[in-house]
Amino acid sequence: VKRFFAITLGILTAIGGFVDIGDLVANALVGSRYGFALAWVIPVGVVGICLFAEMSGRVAAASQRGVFDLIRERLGPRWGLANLTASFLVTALTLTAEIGGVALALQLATSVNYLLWVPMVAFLVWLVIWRVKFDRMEQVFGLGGLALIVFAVAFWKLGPDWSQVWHDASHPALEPGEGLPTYLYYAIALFGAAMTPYEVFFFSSGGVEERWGAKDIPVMQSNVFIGFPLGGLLSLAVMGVAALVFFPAGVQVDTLGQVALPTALALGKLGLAVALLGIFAATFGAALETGLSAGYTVAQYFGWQWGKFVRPLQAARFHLVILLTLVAGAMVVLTTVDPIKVTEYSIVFSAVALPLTYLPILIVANDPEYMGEKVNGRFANMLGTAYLALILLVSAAAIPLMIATKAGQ
Amino acid sequence: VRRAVALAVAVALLLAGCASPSFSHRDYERKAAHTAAEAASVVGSALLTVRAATGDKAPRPYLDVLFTDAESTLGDIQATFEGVQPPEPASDELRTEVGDLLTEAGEVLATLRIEVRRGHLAALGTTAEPLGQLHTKLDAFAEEHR
Repeated sequence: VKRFFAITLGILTAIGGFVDIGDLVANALVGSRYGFALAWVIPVGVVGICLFAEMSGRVAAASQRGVFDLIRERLGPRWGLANLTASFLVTALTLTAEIGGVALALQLATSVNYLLWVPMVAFLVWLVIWRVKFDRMEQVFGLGGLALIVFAVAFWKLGPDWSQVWHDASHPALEPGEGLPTYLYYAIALFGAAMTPYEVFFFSSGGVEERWGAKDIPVMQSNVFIGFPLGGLLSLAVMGVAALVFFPAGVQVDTLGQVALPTALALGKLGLAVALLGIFAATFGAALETGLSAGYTVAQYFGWQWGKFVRPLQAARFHLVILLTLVAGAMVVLTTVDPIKVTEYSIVFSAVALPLTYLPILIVANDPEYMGEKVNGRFANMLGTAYLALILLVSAAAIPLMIATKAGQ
Repeated sequence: VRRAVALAVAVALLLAGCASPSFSHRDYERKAAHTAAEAASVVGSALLTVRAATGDKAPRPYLDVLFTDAESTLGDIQATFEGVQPPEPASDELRTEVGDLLTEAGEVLATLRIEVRRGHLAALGTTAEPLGQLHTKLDAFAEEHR
């Protein structure tokens, strides 16, 4: 019973923790602009993140070492440093977007300007990272993120024509006036949002924090292979309600407030309250994950003591990196830059940096010296290589498409 | 080096969301149509918010944020469009037409925001009445001049 409870809790946490500000914004924006014509990207992204998260989790369980530690050792310090720089910058940009997202969620609930919330949000994120136990932190915000199920309820309550939804999703077509480059740009944004690099750093480092061993691999796999796809359904629900409410009205989603509006229209004040709670939990949880990931990447590369499994005094440099990244992120949001724009750019730059994260994971997961008998099988390698080719294509196309489409205008 | 600098400047302008100048009437017309389409989207969103408000489906703080965002977004759209120099006298007509629609929509959105902050939620339906027509006009303009 205890094991069943642990597995269920892990799956629920994985579902609730799957969605972050990038998923919320990208899915609502795409649903409002393209209806269901880009829904196919979500399963493609979910399969990709499942594949590489499982690999990185297996690496952590087999080696009891963090991904960046192994990347530097396996690929050398130069390649590792290039990898670290890109991954850290993208993670810091994502953290900035998450801080903005939490502040915007609080603004929606209180109408107090989000800029006034930013310092408090940054302080609370730091305090939780500093004080709260790793598993407690992961569970509370992961389970809180489950409130986003309200988007699925709202989708059902809005009464979609299911056969039409299936037709639109399975026969993607461009609306008149929409160009193919813009369509592809948003496809890349959705893919980048689903496969954000910090997710695997956090997942694998979390495995080391929780002292995973070979016996924990089945539990980890159930979290990934059941929890992540169900989390992907939440992304689809966010896209779905936007497609039902905004797309027919010709409204494009530009703010976080609009993301939640369909839940109010479908379910009233209670639905909206649950949606705002879910958005808060999802963005706050992701702020914790990105904050920790910033610390993990730097500390693991330089070989410093890291993690919440030791007292902060013993991992002072790890905590200092987290603190400085949080302060920098909060300062960027306080410049009054639009947090939603930061989010949009963070997911596109995530797409650009994808190969730097996923290629080393594939290499390390194939190395019997680290993995022993838990080394990648033939199927994982075939699928991993196919995804790597896709990731390279996405990475190469992201910036040219951003320039050609004026960032999706 | 010059090419790299030019590219960097272009990317910086792009990322900053700056409007590029118009060199012909047709180019200006396309920008006007794009502006009208963006404004129609904001007005459409405000109409959905009004629907949530009049159906007692959303609390005041949330409505306040949505109307404030809509007003501010529309102001940005208008400022960006009005910052573009009309290339020919014929372009002035388009500028006036779009400008008038945006000003009118901006005034309605401002009134909605004021009424929400004063707690006059019952009056929102009446105040928002012109938005439906403005939405239709903006849509029609965008379609005609695309």
